[in-house]
Amino acid sequence: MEIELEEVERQLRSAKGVPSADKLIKYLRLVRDLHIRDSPMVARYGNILLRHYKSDLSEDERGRVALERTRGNTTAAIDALRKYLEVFANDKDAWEELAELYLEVLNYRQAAFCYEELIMHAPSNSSFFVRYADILYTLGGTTNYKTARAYYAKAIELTAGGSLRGLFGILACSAHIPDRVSLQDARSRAQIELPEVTAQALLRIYKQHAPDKLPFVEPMLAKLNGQGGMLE
Amino acid sequence: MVTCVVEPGAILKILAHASKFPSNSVNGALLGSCDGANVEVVDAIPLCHTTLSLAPALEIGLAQVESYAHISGSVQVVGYYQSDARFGPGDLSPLARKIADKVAERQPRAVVLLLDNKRLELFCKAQADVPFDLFTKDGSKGWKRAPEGKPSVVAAEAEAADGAGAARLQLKGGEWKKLREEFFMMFKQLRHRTLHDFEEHLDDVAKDWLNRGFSGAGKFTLPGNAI
Repeated sequence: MEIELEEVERQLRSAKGVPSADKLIKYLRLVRDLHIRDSPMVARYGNILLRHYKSDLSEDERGRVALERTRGNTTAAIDALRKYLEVFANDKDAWEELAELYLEVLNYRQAAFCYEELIMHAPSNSSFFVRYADILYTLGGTTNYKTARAYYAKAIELTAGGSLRGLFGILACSAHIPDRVSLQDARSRAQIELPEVTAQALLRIYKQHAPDKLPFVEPMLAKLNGQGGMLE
Repeated sequence: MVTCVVEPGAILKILAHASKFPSNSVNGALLGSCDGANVEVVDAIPLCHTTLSLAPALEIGLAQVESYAHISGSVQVVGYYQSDARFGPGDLSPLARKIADKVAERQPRAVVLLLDNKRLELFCKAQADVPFDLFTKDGSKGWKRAPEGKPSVVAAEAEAADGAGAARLQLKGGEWKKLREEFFMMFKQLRHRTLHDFEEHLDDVAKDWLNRGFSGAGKFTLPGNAI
C-alpha cells in the first residue's frame, strides 16, 4: 500500500491545475488506512477536496441517491449513499437516510450500525436512542432485548420520563427477557421493579392526558407485566 | 368464497391516513367481525406512518387495538391495511406479508387491503372504481390477490358475480362513486389532517388514535344532501 501511496502522491504533485476528485479521494483513503497523521499534504489535498469538490460531490451523490430512491432502486441508492458517507462521514442526515433505506430492505443490522453512528454524533437526541432500541427489539434475542431496554431507559432519562415509546419499549423488552433473579442482588431487584415502575409512569401519563384510553391501556399493561410478549 | 364487505367510513379513514402522509408508507388495522366465510370491516385504525418495519410501535399499537376490541365486545381485529409510499405498481411487500401473517395468527380469516397508488390516481380521476386490492390467505400458499389478477370490483348490486374468484371486496352501500365524492369533500375540508394515527399518539398522548368523531359524526355535506 505504501507504494500505491507514493504513486498517488506523485500523480497529485504533477497534476496540472486541480487534481481529479477520484485521485484525491484515493489518496485520502490510503492515508487513512496507513494511519498517516502528520502530513501537510493531507491537509492540503483534503482542503482542495472540500473547497473545489464538496458541492459537486455531495450534491451529485445526494442527487443520485434521491433519484435511485424514486426509481425504487433501493439497493443502488444504498450503494450511492455509502460512497458518499465514506467521504462525508459527518453528515447526520445522510446517516439517517441510509438507515431508512436499510430498514426498507429489512436489513436491520446495517440500520442498527447507522444509528450507532448517529448516537455517537448526537448523544443527547433521544429519538436516535429510541430508534436504535426499536431496531434491536425487532432483531430479537435476549441480548438485544437487554440492550434495547438500556437504550429505552436512556431515552426516558433524556426526556425526563416523557418518552412514551421509551416507556412502552421497556415493558415490551422486559416481557421478553426471562429473568433469573435473586432478591439479594440490588441490581436484579431493580430489574424486577422496572416494569412495575414503568407501568405506573404510563398510567399516570394516560390518566393525565388521555383518560379515555385507560380502559384499554390498563389490561394491556397488566398483560405485559404478567405474561410473555404482547403478540404471542 | 370470501366476501369482504367494508363500511365506507373505514375506507375513508384509510384514504385520509394515506392523504395525510402522502410521501410515506402507512399502515393500520381493520376492525370488524367474521361470519362464516364473510368478513365485515366496520372500522380502520391507522397505526404507523414512519418505518413500518420496526416492531415496537406496531406491536404496541396492535396490542392496544386488540384491547379496545376486546373491551368493546363487538369487534375484533380482522385485518390489516397498508399503503406504500412508492408510486409503482402495488404488490404486497414481504414486510406486509409478515405483518399480515401475524394478524392472521389471531384471526385466521384475516384480510389485507392494499391501497394501490396508481389505481388511487385513476380513482381520483374517476377512471377506476376501486383503488384497493383485497388479499386473503390461501392456506399455506400465502396471501393471494382477489380475484386472481383482476382488481376486485363488485358492486353491491352483485353484477358480474364470477364464482371463480376466491374472494371479493364489496362496499357497504355499494357506491364507490359516492365514496369518491365524500373523499374529495373531506380532502377539500382538510379533514384528513385531523386524523391521528397510533404513532402520533405515541409522540403526543392526547392525540386520539380512535379518531372518534372523524367519519362517524362528521356527515359530509354534499350539495343537496341533508345531514
